[in-house]
Amino acid sequence: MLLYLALIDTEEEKRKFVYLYENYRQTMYYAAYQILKNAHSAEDAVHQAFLRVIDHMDQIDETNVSKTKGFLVVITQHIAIDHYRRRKREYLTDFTEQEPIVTETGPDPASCVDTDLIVQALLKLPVDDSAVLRLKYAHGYSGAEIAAILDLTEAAVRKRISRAKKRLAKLLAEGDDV
Amino acid sequence: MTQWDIDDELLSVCVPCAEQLMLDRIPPEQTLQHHFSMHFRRKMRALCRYERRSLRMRQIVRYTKNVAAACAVIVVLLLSAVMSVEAARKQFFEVITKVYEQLTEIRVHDPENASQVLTLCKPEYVPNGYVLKEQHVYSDILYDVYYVNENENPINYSQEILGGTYIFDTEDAYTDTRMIGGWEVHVIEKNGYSQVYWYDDSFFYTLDGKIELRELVKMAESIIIN
Repeated sequence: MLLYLALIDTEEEKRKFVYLYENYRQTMYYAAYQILKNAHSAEDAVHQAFLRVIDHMDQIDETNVSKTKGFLVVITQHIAIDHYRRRKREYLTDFTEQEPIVTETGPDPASCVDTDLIVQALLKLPVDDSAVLRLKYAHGYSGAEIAAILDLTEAAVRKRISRAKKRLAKLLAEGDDV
Repeated sequence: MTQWDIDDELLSVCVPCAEQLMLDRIPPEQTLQHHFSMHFRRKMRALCRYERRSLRMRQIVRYTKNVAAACAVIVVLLLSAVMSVEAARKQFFEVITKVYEQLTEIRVHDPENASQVLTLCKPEYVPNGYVLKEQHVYSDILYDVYYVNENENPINYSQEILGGTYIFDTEDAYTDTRMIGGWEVHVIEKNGYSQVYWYDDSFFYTLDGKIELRELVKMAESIIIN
């Protein structure tokens, strides 16, 4: 705990960080362990997640419990999956398509699609894809902000969002075929 | 096959719902009872020794990380030829040492043949006036020992299974590297506080305390040579 306090600039940020540490470290550990299945690796991921959080303290509103928890879990899962891949020597698919720009608004989605199916499909997405979608659509971060949070380039963020949408569409289509 | 039109408006509705469902599957914080290991707490304690990072320092770290990442790629490519030799592969693990203005960071990646069993190596030499106060093995990965003198000044020795990140305060410190028993031993001294660290194929060792550096070096020798 003292370690992190040494890295925080203002008293307000220190107070906020203490709150986050005391109220979410178990949750973050749980999220990391679900991916890594190893206590030591999960703790390492939690440690790095807190270091990442320090750099984005101003973006956290600890009074919004749901959003704060979601934000911390996203960061932890993203770091955990990085650890997992390093351990298993997996490589990300090289994806070069640009995210299409939405220039028209379609009909009311609630009136013509089953949002429950989409929600269930979202839960089946890989962690990397899920992380960028959640930061963008659930937390409202821009591409540049997501890139800073996840330590990616903006181009990589655009690619992942585009890939996630394609995977989501494929999952939904496969569900239709059943 | 139905064509699904996944647009931003749809995702703005569905993604928050999906995230809430996912978060609801995580048990409440109060019910989770993981006991964080000494290894985790020790890393935090080690980092506490450093001065507060200024905004400038964070910028330096970010820039250096990008450079280090590029260097790591080059290192891996160059060593891929070495990895084709079985004997060399057994001895190789990726170690990246980054020296910043205020600290030195050693990151060990995927030690291929690192022991998963903590074989305890205790110092045969203990400085005059110091006695063993306590020793613990944490989660079968970290062996932690404390010696103290009559003034309760501690010497800490730890041995842990290799892997992870190790950080040392080297700002305005005296640093040196010595060969002991065929191993590179790194020493740091600053304001009367001494640190010694080294690693072999399986373990990472540290000694630190408010004591003369030569005493810690003698302790290190007694571990390495014996």
